[in-house]
Amino acid sequence: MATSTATDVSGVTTEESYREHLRRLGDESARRTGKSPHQLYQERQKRFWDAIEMKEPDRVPVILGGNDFASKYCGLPLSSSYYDPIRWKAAYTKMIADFEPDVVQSSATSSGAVLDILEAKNTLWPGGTLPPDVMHQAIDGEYLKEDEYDLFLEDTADFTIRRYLPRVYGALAPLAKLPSLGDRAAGFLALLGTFASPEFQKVAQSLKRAAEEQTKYRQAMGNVGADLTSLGFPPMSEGGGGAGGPAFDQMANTYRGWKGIVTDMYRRPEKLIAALEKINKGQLARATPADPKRKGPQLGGGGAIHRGSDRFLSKKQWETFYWPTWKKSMLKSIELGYIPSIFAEGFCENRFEYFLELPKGKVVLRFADTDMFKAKEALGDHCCLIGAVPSTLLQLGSPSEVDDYCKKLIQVCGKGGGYILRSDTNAIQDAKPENVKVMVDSARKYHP
Amino acid sequence: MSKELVEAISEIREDDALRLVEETVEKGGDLEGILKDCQEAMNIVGSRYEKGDYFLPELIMSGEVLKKISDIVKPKLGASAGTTGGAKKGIVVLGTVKGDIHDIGKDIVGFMLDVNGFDVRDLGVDVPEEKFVEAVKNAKPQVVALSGFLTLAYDSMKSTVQALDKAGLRKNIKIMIGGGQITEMVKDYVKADAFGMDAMAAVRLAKQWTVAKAEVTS
Repeated sequence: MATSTATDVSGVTTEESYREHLRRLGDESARRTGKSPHQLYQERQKRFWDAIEMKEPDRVPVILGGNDFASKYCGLPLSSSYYDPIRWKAAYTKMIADFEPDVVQSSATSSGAVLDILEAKNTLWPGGTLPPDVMHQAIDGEYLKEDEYDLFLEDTADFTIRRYLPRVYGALAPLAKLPSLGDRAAGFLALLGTFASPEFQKVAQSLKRAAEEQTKYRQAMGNVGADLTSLGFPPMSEGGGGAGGPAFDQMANTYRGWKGIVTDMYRRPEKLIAALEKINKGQLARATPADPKRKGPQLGGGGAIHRGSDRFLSKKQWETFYWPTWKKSMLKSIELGYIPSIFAEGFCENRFEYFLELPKGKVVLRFADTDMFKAKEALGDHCCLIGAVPSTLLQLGSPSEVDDYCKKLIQVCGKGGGYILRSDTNAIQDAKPENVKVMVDSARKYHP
Repeated sequence: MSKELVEAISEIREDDALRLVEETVEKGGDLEGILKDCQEAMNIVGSRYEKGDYFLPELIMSGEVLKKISDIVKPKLGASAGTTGGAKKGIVVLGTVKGDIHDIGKDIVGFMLDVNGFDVRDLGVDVPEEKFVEAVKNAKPQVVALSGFLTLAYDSMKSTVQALDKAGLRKNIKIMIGGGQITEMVKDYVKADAFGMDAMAAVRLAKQWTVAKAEVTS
């Protein structure tokens, strides 16, 4: 047990104690602000919607996220979001209630037990394959080999089951021994014998256990977004929808790895483009329309730029491989009633001109390393901009340095509206809490 | 020197480059010359990258082409030849620091240092302090290059520099750091000698430091 401090949530171990914890947070907020959660929610949401719609809000809104920051803030290991969902959600709601941002942008969480059972090979996670206090990291690899493009293009399901899953999950390795699954309607029963073998029995066992753990984890995690809504904090977006992110990054991150996709651009560009188009076709087919009954702008689609930032691709490579399919999927999301929310990671100044090709006011652009002042100049009249207080500054800077930085962002980028303050990424777990507080408070303190 | 080969490599025309190399080998031509052409081509690739005409894919792909050329030429040249031949300018110990497994930046830095004539000892990723200390003791490098992408890397870099200091090795080496989010502020925190924004900056620093060293010791 951790020693009792103001941020101690170690005693929150059951759903009942979590509900009690939420009540306490709500009471404290009411005492401090003299407002009901509903009132606070309305105020914050209006501020946020105004910024998204490029109007001038009463002040610049500020977004906060950070699964691991919440853990650290409350003295929990980073593994807690994977293995200790009730304590973790207590920490997360505590963090949001204490810092009081206008909007919450959470990252997805996953069950460590599921990753353990499936023996995931494409990711490292705290408390599983990493020490409890080291943040998760993706393992960039060739999960689709250079000579498997034809199989991927002709029969993606067969590729996924017999090649992809056995590579990515150790517990599913026996699936590689299955015969080709295409055109099996007639001969299906002949396959049954395979499943009687001990190794396939073990696969079935692992899947069953993983599914049970997944259910248990999801039940324990509940709906943190709804819990935060009840405390007066609107989420960045509600539900999914839209046509999805850049096909190129899906190809690079999920299938080919960075080095793989680089060699493909030179050695088999036609196949790479065919695969990107296939992924894109699926995205367009699966996209569902925005809920017409819901009020306000609905964020959906968009996605994050990983391998498409300035340093990763030349303009020619971007125009050939990255932009065409992504642009199509964003236009589709817009057509379906969404405002795609783009996270342009890394440096993305060379991409400004392409963002201008998207309809005005119909996207939201969040930056990380890109110069926000240049972004405001080039794109400020075109769409809402979000970002970007460097996590390095939040970690190593002094409170007054953070204050100066945020002040300048608010005064310059906030001019005329259409701007939201935020840290560059959600990986702010090494930030000093006092600096994060200065960042969030600066939105209340300064005006454009 | 073959202008054609230099152009084929520097314009990343893999098939043309390999064909030219095969032809030279078949004719019993100048194998050392091929390696010199590789060096010349990589100078062009490096300067195009610095100018912003080339990006990471060109660096990575030229590396792939070089690897294939070297696979053809090296067995015929004997074991002593380096990737690009010639005496080494200095030794660089390189690695991604403890807790971090990111390697794209580190690999490119290692490759560009190698083709620019440095003897690179790549320790890999998630490298603990003691492994850097041991490598510096054994290899006696002029330069140590620490890479990291995550914010946790700042503390790992700092403790690596401290460990080198504690082992009495700090005064003999120059330390550079690099990675996606590295700034002057991180450099000061870590107590490194310099930081760089890309692989060419690493080459510039290493050259600067080894030249200065050579002048001092000679």
